[in-house]
Amino acid sequence: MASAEQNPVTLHHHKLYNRTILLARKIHGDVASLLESYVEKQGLDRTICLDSVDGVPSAATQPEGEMTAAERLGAGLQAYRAFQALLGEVLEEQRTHLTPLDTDFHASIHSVLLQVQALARQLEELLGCDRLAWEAAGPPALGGLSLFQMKLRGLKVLQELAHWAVRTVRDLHQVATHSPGSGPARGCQVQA
Amino acid sequence: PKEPVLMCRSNNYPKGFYCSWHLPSPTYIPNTFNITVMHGPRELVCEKDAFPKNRCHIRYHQLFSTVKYKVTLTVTNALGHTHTALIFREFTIIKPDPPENVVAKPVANNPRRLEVRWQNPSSWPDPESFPLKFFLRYRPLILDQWQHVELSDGTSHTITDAYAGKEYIIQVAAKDNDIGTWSDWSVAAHATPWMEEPKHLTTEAQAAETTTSGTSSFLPPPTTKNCDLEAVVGSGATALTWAAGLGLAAAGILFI
Repeated sequence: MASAEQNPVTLHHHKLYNRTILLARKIHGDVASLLESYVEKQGLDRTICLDSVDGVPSAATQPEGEMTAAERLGAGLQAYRAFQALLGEVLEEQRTHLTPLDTDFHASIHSVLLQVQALARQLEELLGCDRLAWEAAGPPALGGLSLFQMKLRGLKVLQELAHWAVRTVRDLHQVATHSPGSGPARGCQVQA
Repeated sequence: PKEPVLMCRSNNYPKGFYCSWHLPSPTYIPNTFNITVMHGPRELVCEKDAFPKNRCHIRYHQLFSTVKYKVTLTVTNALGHTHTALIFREFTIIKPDPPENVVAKPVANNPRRLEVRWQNPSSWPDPESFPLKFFLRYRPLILDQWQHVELSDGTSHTITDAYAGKEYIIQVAAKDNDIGTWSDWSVAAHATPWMEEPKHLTTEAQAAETTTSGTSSFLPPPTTKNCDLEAVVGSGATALTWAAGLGLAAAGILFI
């Protein structure tokens, strides 16, 4: 009887799952560190209420929702695509308005942005999504926000991203555990 | 009443969390406690335990939410009322129970190794989706200095730098891989590394015999040992002979 582990396609996806889990965990760790320096540099209190900040994908989900594995990962992919644009905006706001001289800080944000791009690509591969079907957001739409609102939105972006990363780790663990030896969670159910 | 002490913790993430409370000093009159749990604008039910009465449980209606929880506890008695509140996010109150069934065993033929095994806390409901990492500490009983090892996966570890022949005390703590805080330390396990079987215990005379056997002219002749043995047996025999003689004499007297 052929073992599922011996299938090269399965092996590839097993490795891809593990790599994606590691990347999501790395993003969570890096964003947690970034959050610490963010609140310090912007002079914010971490307990500040961010309920009024909108336009950031919420990681909150039903504990026992009825989404399939593919739908859950698809929701994650959609969120990370949005975060690419949002992190680009946050980076631009920091460079232009908030911390123009703090290049190390900008590099930290940029590093997270690159990791989010990589995570989105890996999720696309797992889901069998066509990357060409999705175009990255255009240049950041700056303007319209006060400096304080920019600070708050940046904090909200990082907080939600940290939670999304943990949610993705959970989703990937569940898919990997409940469909051992199977291929990817096929079904690119993502709105382009 | 004085302001009550309130604590909330999730030891069964992602199912829910519990809050418990107590008064810092007794009031000697009846008190009633009222607890409300808000998640953003939504009020959640906190189901009270029959026992202990100062605890209630909340099920998560959302996971991975960045919206804060606010738990307010009000204590009321005949003299008035007071309250306290906790505000926290989902991830910050996650703290697993300590690992269970920690067992340490010596490793055969390895005088510096101890194999330690444990189990996930049974209260942690989904270790596949939310794997735990572990922290192990160990020390010989005779020293105060702990050694520490952090382990990202698995529920066993082999200590390789134990002092030969020393009894060790070993404890393990657990934490979700990414979120929350470390559990308390587990119940301690004790073990001593493997030791070579001690040589067969011998008397001083036997030891001398063994070490010099066939090599020395001072070796006492085998008969010496035999004689000793015979002497012991002979004593017994003598006693038996004496008893038998006594019996014969008694029979002779009766016969006469």
